[in-house]
Amino acid sequence: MRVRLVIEKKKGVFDPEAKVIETSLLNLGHPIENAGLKKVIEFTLGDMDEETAKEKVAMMCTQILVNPVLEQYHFELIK
Amino acid sequence: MKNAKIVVFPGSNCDTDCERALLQVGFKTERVWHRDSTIEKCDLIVIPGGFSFGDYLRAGAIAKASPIMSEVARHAERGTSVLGICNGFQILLEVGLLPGAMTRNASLQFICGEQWIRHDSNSSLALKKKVLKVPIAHGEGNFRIDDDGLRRLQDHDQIVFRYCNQEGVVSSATNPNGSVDNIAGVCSKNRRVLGMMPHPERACDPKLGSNDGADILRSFLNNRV
Repeated sequence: MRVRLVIEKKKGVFDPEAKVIETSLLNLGHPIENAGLKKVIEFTLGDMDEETAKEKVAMMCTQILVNPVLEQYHFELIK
Repeated sequence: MKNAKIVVFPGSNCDTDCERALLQVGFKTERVWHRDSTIEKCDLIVIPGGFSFGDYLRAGAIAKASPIMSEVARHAERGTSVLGICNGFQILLEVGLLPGAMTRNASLQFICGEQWIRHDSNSSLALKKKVLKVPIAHGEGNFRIDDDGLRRLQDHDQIVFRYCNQEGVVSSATNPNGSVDNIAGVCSKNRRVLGMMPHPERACDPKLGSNDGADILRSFLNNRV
């Protein structure tokens, strides 16, 4: 089973890097707004039922992958 | 003689400076490797600056998986003083020994230079001066915490240092990295763990511009955060 995990800044947490990207696109004449930068982590998990896989990924996020002060996450399981 | 342990991770680069400064103020020192699982009885544990694990994932995050960190937490719980400097501060935040989190400097630039900080805690560190000159060098020193967390830090006198000017005035103009409330260093509620972005080990010789860092390190000889 393949896991695709997306980690992003929580709403209200300023992301200066995303702001710089947004500004640079505006400077190049692209009228965009609300740019956001996300991290995507993909990995393969052994065979297991969906519920167990979800629990395992949530545990990984709590233990190390996500900083709950600044970030939130969502993921999908790809069979 | 008081005994200090210096925790070294792959990518730590201030361990030698820390060792030299701690020896200078009167500590006996020993370095411990991040894969060690025990730390012998000591008076102070220092987590030095640098770029542990290349700052991969988030600055300080990967250190969470090192066996030594549960030992650091155990010591802190039992009353040993713990000092995290720069990347060491980021590590203490990531492992949850201190509240809050660190993000990229508001300017997006790595900043490096002399900095004035004000000692703002009535119950932490026995320092001779209120305003100290201690250098900073970081790319991710923008301290964040939610409003409730900030209020708790203020209510419990946990904000040990704030960025200021030479006169000790704290304002947005004296904030080098965008940290909330100009925070440069905080301690734990039990006052055993101190994290600070400025580098006291680089301010231990007047010839290098300041001796104020030695005063900070010396205060740990009295086993007091």
